[in-house]
Amino acid sequence: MIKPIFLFTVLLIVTLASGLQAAPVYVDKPTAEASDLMKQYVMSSVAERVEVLHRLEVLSTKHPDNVNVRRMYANLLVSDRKYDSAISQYEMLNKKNPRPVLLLPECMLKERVGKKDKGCYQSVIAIAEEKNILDSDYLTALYFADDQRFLAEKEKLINADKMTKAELAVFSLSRDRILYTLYP
Amino acid sequence: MTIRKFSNNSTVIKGFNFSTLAHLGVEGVGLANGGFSISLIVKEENVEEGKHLYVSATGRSNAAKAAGNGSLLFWCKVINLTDGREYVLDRRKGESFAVGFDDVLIGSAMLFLAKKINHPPSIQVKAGYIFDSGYTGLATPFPSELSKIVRLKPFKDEP
Repeated sequence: MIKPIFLFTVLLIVTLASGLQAAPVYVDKPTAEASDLMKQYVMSSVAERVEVLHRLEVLSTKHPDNVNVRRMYANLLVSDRKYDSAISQYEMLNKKNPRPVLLLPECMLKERVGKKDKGCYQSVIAIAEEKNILDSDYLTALYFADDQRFLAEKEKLINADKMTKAELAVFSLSRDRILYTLYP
Repeated sequence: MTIRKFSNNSTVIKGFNFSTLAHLGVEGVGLANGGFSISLIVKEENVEEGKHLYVSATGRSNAAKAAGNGSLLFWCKVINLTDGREYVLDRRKGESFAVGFDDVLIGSAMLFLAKKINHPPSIQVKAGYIFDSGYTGLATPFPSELSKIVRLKPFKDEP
């Protein structure tokens, strides 16, 4: 006969496990709060977005070293077309530990607002090569830096089946067309 | 943009496919795989007072596959340009949809466009997605949304 205490333990474990599955899995509470604000922003009206963005700004000020919160704040500033403010946030993010994934938007935004910085793209390329992260961001940086290796690296990625020709068709567009589509 | 169309006297069903290139700031995604597309089905039925509209949508992007983890939350809003009211597409209980293997269901919305003389009926569609890494938070693509105007069949008794 199954003892009641055993049944109770099994039920408790199942309940806890299902609860854990449903609970947010974000790395920390500020990240969870910022994620919630991002969702709110997307579904808000234009007037409501001002308040949501302000709350995210307050959260990033309260947790200045939280990369996730600042990244999400920078992300929403771009969505809100506040490009100069977004650049400042990306500069802060890239000051200590620059990564291609966050440095590339900084370079492209600078070019979009008329402050093209070729050295910025070259930094993305150098970091990517150092860390051996030869992906879309690396190729994008080569393209925007007018680097002569672009075509050869593009072919390498296709031949290695890392990317398809269709995925890389975007690079047949002009740099202005790409910039103004991404950052209207 | 691609369009498919079916119609009889009062009802018209059109299918639209809108897409945009986009950059998602997530490792492995970037510009090559951040783009997305939205497929819309618009069913319009003319009546004396105006037009009943049923809009359903699915989204598609390679972003999550390219990232290797995370999920995509697609969203879509429809704005009635006759009166400016906004409708968010969602999933209602008991409703069923046919979707493709790589499609993410967004949902549907029903609206009514009151007849306005000399005001051709049209709606604005806004859509996008949120990438949820499930650990380091969310990210939206650049541009964060695509926006298109869909012109509809004229109101009843209007040329």
